[in-house]
Amino acid sequence: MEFKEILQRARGYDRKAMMEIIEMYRPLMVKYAVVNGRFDEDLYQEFVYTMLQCILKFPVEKYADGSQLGAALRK
Amino acid sequence: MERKNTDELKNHFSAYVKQAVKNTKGHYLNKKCSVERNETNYEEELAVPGQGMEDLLREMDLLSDKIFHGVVESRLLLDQIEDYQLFQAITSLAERQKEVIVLRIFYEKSFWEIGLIVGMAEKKAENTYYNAVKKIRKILGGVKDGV
Repeated sequence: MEFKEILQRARGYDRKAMMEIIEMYRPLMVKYAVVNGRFDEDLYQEFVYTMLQCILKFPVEKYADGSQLGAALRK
Repeated sequence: MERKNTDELKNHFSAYVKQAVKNTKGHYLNKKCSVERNETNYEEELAVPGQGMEDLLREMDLLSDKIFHGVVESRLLLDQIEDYQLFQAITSLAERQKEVIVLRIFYEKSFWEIGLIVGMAEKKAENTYYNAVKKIRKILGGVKDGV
């Protein structure tokens, strides 16, 4: 499945798609959740919450280039 | 073309997420720091090395016993004040005023009780307290503008 399709589904509150995106960015979140050489579980949870917000708030229209992709995502 | 678009979208999304994660981390650490700064662990602070909580409580009991025999351990309590200016201001007060301040603030006694302990009328104790506070405020106000 292409990224735009996953994002599209995730924005439609599709749990599986949301999880997929979170999985995709897990390494990034793990990397930033390390504070002073220790993995901070609470911070990681904050990141997951941030990720969900990002999925819903990401301004797709702005980056979709006005092409059919944008139209598809705007639906 | 389609392929390129979706990659581009992913890159934009990745950058967006990365920035959001960074911001979250900043907020989280700031919050954590401010909590740690403002939080005091009383048990730890009270516990003198080599002295258990029980000893401390016994000592406190002893102190409150002493009060009613007319002895006020003001020095011991005043030593806990960390603000140097405030400490100076209080130590510069007259002995009577100091006793009343200590009883009122550290022991949380009513003016009537203070009067009983120090040996003065209720009204007199109240006046002494407010005069002392006024004096402290004046001393601190001279150094720190208007506090």
